[in-house]
Amino acid sequence: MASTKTAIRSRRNLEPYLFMAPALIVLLLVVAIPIGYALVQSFYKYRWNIPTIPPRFVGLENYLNIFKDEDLLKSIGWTFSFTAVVVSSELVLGLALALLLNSRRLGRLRAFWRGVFLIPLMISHVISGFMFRMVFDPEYGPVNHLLSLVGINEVRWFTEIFPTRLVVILDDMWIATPFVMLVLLAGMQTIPVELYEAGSIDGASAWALFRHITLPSIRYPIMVVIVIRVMDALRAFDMIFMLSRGGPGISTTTVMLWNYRYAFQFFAMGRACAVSFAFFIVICLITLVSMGILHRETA
Amino acid sequence: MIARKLLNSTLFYIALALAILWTAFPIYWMIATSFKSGDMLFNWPPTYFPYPLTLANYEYIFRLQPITKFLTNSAIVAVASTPISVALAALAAFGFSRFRFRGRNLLMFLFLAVRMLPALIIALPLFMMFRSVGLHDSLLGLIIVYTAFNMPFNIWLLQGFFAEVPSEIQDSALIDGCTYWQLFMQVMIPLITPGLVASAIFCLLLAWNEFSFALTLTYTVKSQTLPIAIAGMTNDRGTLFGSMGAVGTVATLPILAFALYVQKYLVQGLTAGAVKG
Repeated sequence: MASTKTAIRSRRNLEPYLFMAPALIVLLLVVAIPIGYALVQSFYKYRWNIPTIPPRFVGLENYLNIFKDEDLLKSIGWTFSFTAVVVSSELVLGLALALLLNSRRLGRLRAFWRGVFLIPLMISHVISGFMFRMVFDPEYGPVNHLLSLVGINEVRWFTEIFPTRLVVILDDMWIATPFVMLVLLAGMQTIPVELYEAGSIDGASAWALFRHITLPSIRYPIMVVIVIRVMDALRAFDMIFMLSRGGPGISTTTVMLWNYRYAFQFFAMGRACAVSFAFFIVICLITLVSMGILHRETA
Repeated sequence: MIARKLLNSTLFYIALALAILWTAFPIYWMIATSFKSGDMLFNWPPTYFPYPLTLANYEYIFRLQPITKFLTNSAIVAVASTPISVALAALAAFGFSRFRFRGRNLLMFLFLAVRMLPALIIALPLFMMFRSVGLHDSLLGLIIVYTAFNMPFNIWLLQGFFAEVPSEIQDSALIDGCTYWQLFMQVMIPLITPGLVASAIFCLLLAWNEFSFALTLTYTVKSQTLPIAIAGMTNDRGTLFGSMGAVGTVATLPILAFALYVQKYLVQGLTAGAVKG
């Protein structure tokens, strides 16, 4: 933390706690209590649409069932591969976009173009799902029309597994690449121009400049962006809910979509709570480990 | 050498053009669709430049769909949750960045954990709790949830801004006899205004666009927001593309205009903390 030296030492005083109290109280009421409730419920079987049947304590059964449910296991696999694919493609594309925007060719127009490329970041994920639904519509959409011009006919987006997964991945890239681009661009703009000038004088190629100056200098932003994006991609829900409803079959159903189904279509409270709780722990662990790596690398 | 330079800049502009196309085309297509008449929606090849434009879809959504109600709901929820969330976050961020105290790291991690929390893990318990206190399907319920959920991010963002205030300013204020409260209100707050603006913008954007909680905690027009309105229109594919496009456009354009207008703060906020090592 940058503030270590400037901090007010206050071991006996109440002040820091007083300043944090309002936020803590709100989070306690709206977040901590429901989580506690969810944790307790995860050890029970309870159909909340039939309140007359009382909850039945089943111990760890809801958790153990996770490993027996083949559909859910498939979805866990898909959630992780989705995350791996989108985060790595967003990183490459975001880096390319940042390099494009960092180019001296743009001059004063840089802020303008940066604004244009930021637009997807401000759009609701549900609406972006709707946009991609229209653009990739198999019968009336422009993508299939353009593909038919080069001889690829009637790709069945949304009814075949691979094309649907591709659209879901593309939509996530559309939504999140601007964020990656923005953070990497901000990192690049802190690199002193003199470094590049010195490199050029020594006769380094553009690739060498990128490889030996740009890339090492933005290592920290790259890692921050990976941590944040992995965290978000694992929880993907809104866009997929709108775009494919998890289909065809369960091929694009993420863990969070299952969770929604357990809770609001099967009314299986205990099961929904167990799945979301287990998954939350996994996300926390992944984040903790990657932040640990981050701190060690930058120390 | 000249040929190579020319090639390089041609490639550069081709890449730029592709990037623009990739970013803008889905948005363009939605807006264009919203202006297409019924039969134009089902043309093959699809109509890339709709002409003549028709306002029929907008008439439909404003006359036959309760779209003004959804719009008002979205606006109320966003505007009401933002100031509370920013104010509470600013207090907490001040506490975090300016004091050393027992349990600081643990608290920091807990706040961060909220940011990692899948919305759905608490949506169901909240749904039950809200139902028992009469907050289900209400704007107030959504406002409370958004206030809480936007807070951790704001605390993290504002903490960075507080940390950048030089310690000399703080020391001299305290030597002059400022209380901690005065230090916060009169010295710190004016210095971190850009941070406050940035976090307010985030709150507005997130509340306006939020889906998971709105989907689970509201179920009638009384309290549903625009993203829910769009998701609710998907049943009858095709025929509704025009009006869905119109709802999407209505939901997107105001926030887009606003966000582009305040872009500077947005960029500052998003990149704070991610750049320094």
